[in-house]
Amino acid sequence: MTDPAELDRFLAGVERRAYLQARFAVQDEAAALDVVQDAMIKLVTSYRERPAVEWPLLFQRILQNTIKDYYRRQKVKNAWQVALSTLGLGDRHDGDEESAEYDPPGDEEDDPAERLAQGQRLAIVEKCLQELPLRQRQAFLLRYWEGMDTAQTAEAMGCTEGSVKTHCSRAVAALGKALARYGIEL
Amino acid sequence: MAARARTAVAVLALWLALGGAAAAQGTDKPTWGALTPAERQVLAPLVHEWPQLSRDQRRHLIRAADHYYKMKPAAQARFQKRLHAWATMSPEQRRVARENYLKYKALPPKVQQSLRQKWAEQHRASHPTQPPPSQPKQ
Amino acid sequence: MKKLTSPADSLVRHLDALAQQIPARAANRLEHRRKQVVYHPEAAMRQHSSLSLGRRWLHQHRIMAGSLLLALLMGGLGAYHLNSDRQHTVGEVDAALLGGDLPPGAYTNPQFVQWLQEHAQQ
Repeated sequence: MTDPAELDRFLAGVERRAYLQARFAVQDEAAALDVVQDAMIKLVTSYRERPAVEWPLLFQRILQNTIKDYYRRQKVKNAWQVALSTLGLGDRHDGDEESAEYDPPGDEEDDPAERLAQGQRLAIVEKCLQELPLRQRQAFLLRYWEGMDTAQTAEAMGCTEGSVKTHCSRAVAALGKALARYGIEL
Repeated sequence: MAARARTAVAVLALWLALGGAAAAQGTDKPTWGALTPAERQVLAPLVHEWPQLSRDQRRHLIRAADHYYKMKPAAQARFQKRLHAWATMSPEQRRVARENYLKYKALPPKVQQSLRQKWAEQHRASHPTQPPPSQPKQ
Repeated sequence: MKKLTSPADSLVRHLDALAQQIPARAANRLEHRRKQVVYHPEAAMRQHSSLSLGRRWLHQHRIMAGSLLLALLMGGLGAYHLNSDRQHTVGEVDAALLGGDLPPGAYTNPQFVQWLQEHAQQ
C-alpha cells in the first residue's frame, strides 16, 4: 500500500508547474485548477500502486491528455462565441474578475522598479507561451521545463520522437521571434 | 442575409435542444414494472412502499441499486436490511444523513474506527440485550 | 528534475519564477485539492464531478451573458445534465451509506453527529 504522504509530496512538487501548464492552455484559473485536480484524481485512483519512480511520467501523460481534452472543449465553446458575435448577440467579458493576476511579490528588499520590470517580463513570457500552438507548447514545456528527454516527452504526449523534435524546434523559433518583439532575448 | 439565416438556424437549434432536453428529462416516476429484474431483486424489500415513494426517491434508489452489484456480499446484506428504514426517513433526514456520512468517510480510518466503537458502546448501553452492530473492516 | 542546457535556459528561469508567483488564492486551492485527492479520493471525485460541471456551466453562462439564446440552450441542456449527474452521485452515496459500517440512523443521531463534529475539527 502506497504511503499517502509520499504521494502528497510528489504532487506538491509538481502541482505548481502543472497548474501553469494548464493555465497557459485554458487561460482560466478555475478551469486550470480543475484540469490539475482531474489529473491528480486519475493518478491517485489508477496508478497509486505503481512504483514512485514512474509517477512523474505517468502524471505528465495524464496531465497532457487532460489539457488536450479541456482545450478542445474550450475551442468548441469559443466557436459558439464567434458565431454569436457575428449575430451581434455575443458579449465577451474581458474584465473577468476570475482572471489570473500576479500576486505582488512579498516583502522583498529589492528595488520596486526592478520588481515591476520583472513582473512585466513574466507577463510577456506567459503571453508568448500562450500564443504557441498547443502541441508546440506541450513539447517545449515537457522537454525544457520538466526536463524530460525526447523519448519521455513522446510518451507523455502520445506521439513520435520525430514530432517532439519538430514541435520543440518550432516552439523555440516562434518563442524567440515573439519575445524579440518585446526586446527580450531567448 | 447570411446573418438572418444563421439566426434561423440558431432558433431552430434552441427549439430542438429545449424539446430534446425536456423529453429526455421526463416527468414520470419509474414504476415497479419499469425496473429491470436485477433492480427489482435488489429493491425487493420496498415492493410494497414503491407506489408511495417520490420520483426523486425512486431515481436515487435505482441508482443505488445499480451500485449494489459492485459491493461485497456483507455490504449487500446490510444494504437490503437497511432499505426499509432508509425509505421511511424524511427527505431532510436522508439529506442530513448523506452529508454526515460523507463527513464521516472523510475522516482518517483510525478516527472512523474509534467512532464506530463509540457508537457500538452507546448502542450496547441503550439496548443491553441486543448484540452490537457488525463492525466490518472496510 | 535536472534541466537541459539549451537556448531556452533563460525562459526556464522565467517559468520557475512564474511558478513561484502563482496567486496565493490559486496556490491555496491547489494545495487544498491535492490534500483532498490524496487523503479522501472518494470525496474529491464526488465533489469534482458535480462542482466542475456546475462551474463550467456557470462560466459559459457568464461569458454569454448577452446571449439569451445560448443561455437558454445551455440552461436547458445544462440543467438536464446537472440533474442526472446529481442523481447519479446521490445514488452512489446512498449505496455506500446503506452498505456501510453504520446504520443510516447513526448519521442523523445527535450524539453521533456531535462526535463527528468534534473529530472533524481536529
